Amino acid sequence: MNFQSLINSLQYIKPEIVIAVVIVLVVTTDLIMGKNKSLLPWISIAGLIVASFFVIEQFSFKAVSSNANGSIGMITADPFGAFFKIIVIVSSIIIVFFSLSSNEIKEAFERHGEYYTLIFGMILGMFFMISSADLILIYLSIELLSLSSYILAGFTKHSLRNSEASLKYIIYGGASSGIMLFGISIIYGLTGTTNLYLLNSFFHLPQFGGFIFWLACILIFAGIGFKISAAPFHFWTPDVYEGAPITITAYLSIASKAAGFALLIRFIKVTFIDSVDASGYWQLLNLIDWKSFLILISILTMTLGNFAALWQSNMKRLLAYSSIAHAGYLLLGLAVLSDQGLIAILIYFAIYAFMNLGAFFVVMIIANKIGSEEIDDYKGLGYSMPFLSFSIAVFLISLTGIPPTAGFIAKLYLFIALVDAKMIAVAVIALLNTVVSLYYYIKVLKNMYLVRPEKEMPAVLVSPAAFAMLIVLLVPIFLFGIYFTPLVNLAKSSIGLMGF
Amino acid sequence: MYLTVLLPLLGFIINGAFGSKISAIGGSASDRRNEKVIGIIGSGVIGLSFLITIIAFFQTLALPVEERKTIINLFTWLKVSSLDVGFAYQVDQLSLIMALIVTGVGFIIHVYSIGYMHGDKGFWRFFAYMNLFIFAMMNLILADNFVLLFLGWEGVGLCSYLLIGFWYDKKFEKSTTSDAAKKAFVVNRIGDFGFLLGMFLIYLTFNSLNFNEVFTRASAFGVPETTFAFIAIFLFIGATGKSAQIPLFVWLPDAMAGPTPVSALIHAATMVTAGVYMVARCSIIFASAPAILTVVAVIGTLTALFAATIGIVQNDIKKVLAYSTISQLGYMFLAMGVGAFSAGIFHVMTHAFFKALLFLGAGSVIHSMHHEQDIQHYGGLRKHMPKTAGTFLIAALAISGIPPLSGFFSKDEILWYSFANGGFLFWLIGALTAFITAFYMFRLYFLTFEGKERFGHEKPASTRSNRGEHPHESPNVMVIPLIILAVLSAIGGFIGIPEIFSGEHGNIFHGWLEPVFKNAERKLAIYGLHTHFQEILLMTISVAGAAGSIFFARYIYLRKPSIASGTAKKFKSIYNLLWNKYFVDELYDATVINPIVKTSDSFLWRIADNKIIDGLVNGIASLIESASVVIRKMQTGVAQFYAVIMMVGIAAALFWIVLSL
Amino acid sequence: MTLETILFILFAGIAATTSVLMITRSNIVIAALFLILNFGALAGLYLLLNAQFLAVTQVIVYAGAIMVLFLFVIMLLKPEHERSIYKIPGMKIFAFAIAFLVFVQLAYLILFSSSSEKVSPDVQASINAGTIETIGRELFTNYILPFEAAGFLLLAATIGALILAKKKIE
Repeated sequence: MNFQSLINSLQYIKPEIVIAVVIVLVVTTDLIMGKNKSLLPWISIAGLIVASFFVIEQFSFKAVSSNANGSIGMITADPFGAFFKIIVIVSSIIIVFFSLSSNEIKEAFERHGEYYTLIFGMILGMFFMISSADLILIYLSIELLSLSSYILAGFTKHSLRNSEASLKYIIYGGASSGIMLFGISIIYGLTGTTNLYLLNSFFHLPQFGGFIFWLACILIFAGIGFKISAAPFHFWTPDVYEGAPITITAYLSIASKAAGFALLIRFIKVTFIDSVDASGYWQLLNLIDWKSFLILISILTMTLGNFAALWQSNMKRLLAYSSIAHAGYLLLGLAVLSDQGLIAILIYFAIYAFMNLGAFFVVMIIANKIGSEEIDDYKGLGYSMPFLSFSIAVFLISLTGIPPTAGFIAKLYLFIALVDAKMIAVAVIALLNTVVSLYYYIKVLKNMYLVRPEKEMPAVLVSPAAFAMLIVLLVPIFLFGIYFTPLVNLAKSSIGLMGF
Repeated sequence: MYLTVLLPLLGFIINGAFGSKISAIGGSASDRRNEKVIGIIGSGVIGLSFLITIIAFFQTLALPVEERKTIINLFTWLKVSSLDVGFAYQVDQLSLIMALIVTGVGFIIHVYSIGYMHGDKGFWRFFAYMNLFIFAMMNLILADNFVLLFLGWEGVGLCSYLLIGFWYDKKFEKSTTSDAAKKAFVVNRIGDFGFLLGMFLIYLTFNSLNFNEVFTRASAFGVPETTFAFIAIFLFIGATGKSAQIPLFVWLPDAMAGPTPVSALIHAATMVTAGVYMVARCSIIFASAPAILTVVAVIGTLTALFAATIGIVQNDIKKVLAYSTISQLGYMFLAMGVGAFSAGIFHVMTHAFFKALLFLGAGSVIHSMHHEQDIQHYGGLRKHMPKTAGTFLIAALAISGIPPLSGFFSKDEILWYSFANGGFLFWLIGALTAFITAFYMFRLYFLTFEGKERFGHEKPASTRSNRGEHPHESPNVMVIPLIILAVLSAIGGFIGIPEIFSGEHGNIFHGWLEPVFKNAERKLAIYGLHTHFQEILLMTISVAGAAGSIFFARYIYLRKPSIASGTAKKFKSIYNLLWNKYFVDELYDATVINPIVKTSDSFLWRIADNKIIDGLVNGIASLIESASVVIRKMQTGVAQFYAVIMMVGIAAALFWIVLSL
Repeated sequence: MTLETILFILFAGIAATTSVLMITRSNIVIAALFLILNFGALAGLYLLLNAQFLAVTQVIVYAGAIMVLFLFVIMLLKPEHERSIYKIPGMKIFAFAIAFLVFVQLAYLILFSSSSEKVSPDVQASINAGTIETIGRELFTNYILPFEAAGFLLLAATIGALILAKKKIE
């Protein structure tokens, strides 16, 4: 037994260690400080900043931990993972600030210790999801993330809706992780290993393939598909998004989805890769037709998401469906199976994080002020809350993908990747979907600007903290809409997965 | 140098975002002070830009000729395969001249506007738009690729639209200012469409949109002339839209609905010359298609004459100036058309000086006459506003081409080249236009500033002219810009003294621009008869003609006003034709607009739109709706059902994979 | 027929029968008792596969702790006899169809799959692999990371239980 290699491998999980320490710190602080919970968010942010230092360090790594006997271990450290971890960290920091100004969370003051502990539980789960190279750890990290988010979804407990969301999430999540575990067990039965890199070398052997293998792959995909809310595993999304506290909804729609995508990309690329050709296209092993499968799933996902969003009257539900549709676009980026598609995904995620967080944030502030998330109650807000309305207009326009907002750039790179891969028909379908999405986003704007409110509403001012937060979210939307080269360069340098 | 672009943007952002707040500070009592803050910010940023441009100019001047072109690459905007578009600015002799004109004249007009716009409720909005305009214009002239140029091109169009409709609730002639703005917008779109097509063709042909690459590849051989001809004609269509040439000139007179400083800056001195600039910038492309170059010259000449004749009979002071602008732009295109690119740019510069001055002078008059614009109701204003009158006189002399004022040098250079390179007919029409120009400019001058006072006593109720109050000289903040511009109009021509006067130094202006145009000029290689005797002879003829026209105008409008009305009566049909601007608007209405309206009403709307498209759209909409109903129905909220669907999904996926192999 | 085969048929038969009985009972207590039986049969199957540790864990954790929890919940909630969960008409047929489909797939998988030949059981090795010692060593060296992750998972679960148990905030 060579423990030295295990101890050496510790350097690859520095960010995870920091997060784990913060969990312990939050729990103990909560115990010691008793009634005074005001320190907790700041500990969280400090912890996240420290973790981000170690994550940035991982941009220069391209390594995998090793086992006691020197074989390939479970965790990787590479620029790809670091990019997604940065997205998780940034959105976590923003979510902590959201929570500070959310009425829902403020009301649950008693349980802030648990709230932050569980958020960090989610972060830890996501970090492991992003960098794990072993099916066991993948499963456990998904469970860690899911369990924490089940509880957070039902966190405020003040409404029936809330508890219902939590319960549904648990049932559905339980079912899908069971399904995934079944798939993993089949794979283990076939190969005797759970390590993605070892699986890849096994799959190079000729006897693989066939029905049982496909079943296993699809079962595992179902488990991940649940996390990224890809159709037909997306049904929990609208119910949970609507019922959960809005901070958690926003968090689920970005961080959790990012981690799911990181996992899916790593799973497909590492496990099934044969070679990468000179122009960056991935030649997958001829075991299962991932390309057509992913195209099918993504078209289904974006179409279902967009069409269901058309007649939604609740803002959170609308954004839930829109986030399903965006998962569809992102899946298309993966379906290209090329480095260019991967770059498009990374760019998309970085931008999507800002615009979706922004949209949820404004919805939250408006809900704080008018006590409603119904689109009908948004009538005439353009006059009584000009700045908030302007912000949400920008975020929605960006979500649609209209220049000069960053959303356009995100879609542009995605479509370029599609066209470069000669997937014209798919690109056209995605484009049509974008057109459909325009309709429901614009509907919100129409209500705010073109419909006069039924009753005169007094002008409402935004608190300085919320104002600052909105500026922080708005600036990237415009900045990346015009000057997006650094983002593109960052994405280009972040496509390196361990082993490639 | 890129600061000259960014500073106006900064001004726009400050005034646009906080302008309303600034004007709200301290309530209405402190209006004046708040206006000053906005005005100083607005003009200050332009002034700084101007200073930076001057510094850049002298830095460039200090460099040896072959190093005078620098490219400032701010950042790559879009890089997809061979399409590489950057926010990159090209500082060379041509763009520096244009930048000097834009920031310099722009700065003066900004300062003037502080006085002119005083008390307007949209004061901050005005400065925000003006700064945005300068920003867009600087992008246009400093761009090092077609995309950025187009961005600026559209940007100035947008600002022009916003500023024409600035007083959106004001009546303008038969309709409102926003209709005038709409007209400008639509006509410009036609031109832009041509420009876009040209751009696509360029990309297809040269596989790049970067100026350097395109022009290098264009000067090499191997591209057929017809390709060049198509590119050039499309680009030229774009230019006719922006620079108000036949047939797309109709928007410019209506654009006078905007505030007068806007007319001066955008619709006289800078934006409308963008077309000329673009042709000059693409000189190599135009030079490679000599046939199109001739078209340019013909259109330019015709526009010059055409607009000048309309100018004779117009009574609205700004309308006269608008037609004279169109006419002068015609000259510039004539210059381009005969291959005298630097002469054209020279005229852009001198024209910017004296036309801005004319407009600002007119603004000063309008300001003091309480927005009366009909010259029939002016007269004798020199006594009341001597400084305005003096500067206006200088400008009128300059535009008429009286030596040694700036207009003389630039106009005669164009006329000379059109004779030498183009032919006798071009020269003849050009010279004739010059005489007409001198005539109507002095008609304007005499009717406005000399003679009897015709205001104050007729139709006191219906006109908005002064109510017992005398016209007065404008405040210093408006007069000083006038004086500066007058000085420039007077001496601005000396940097372009033709060879025959300056001797061995040659034409300095021409020499400065020579590296930019040398490829195009070499390609054209047309140097006609060129003797100094001819040049001096032509010069004498045009000066004599212009002077004659001025005296003729003085005779008619000061001594014997009856002649004017008598002639108008005698040649009523011609007068009517001119008064109604050759019925071009009506012609367009009858031939283009009405048929479109009719077809769109009877066919497109009633049948195609109502039946076919609406049917289609409604069909699709209801299809989508029913699909979405199904999808929504699936969202039952029952967790077991979701799990079932999930299972179905897995089973379906599996079968699909089995089947697909 | 070896003893192993006989035992396999016995345990597998019990497992299959009890699972069917469990989901068809309308009395939830009886269903729970069938589930215990099912867990016990599975433990037997683990033993047959030389997974002693797993078999014992199965008995202690599932048949013991979890079932006690189940019965507690049932006792506290006192659920009425459920009439039918198939509120939507046709749901029963649909569910049967899906179940049948999955069954066919799995049957096909076991009967016709060539991939399963790969596993070649070395009896001694598989006995060794199932001992507590081996599992413990693996768990604290190569699988330390999943082990720790599971620790945090349990922490999150504990906190979740606390939140759910705490009184509602008014």
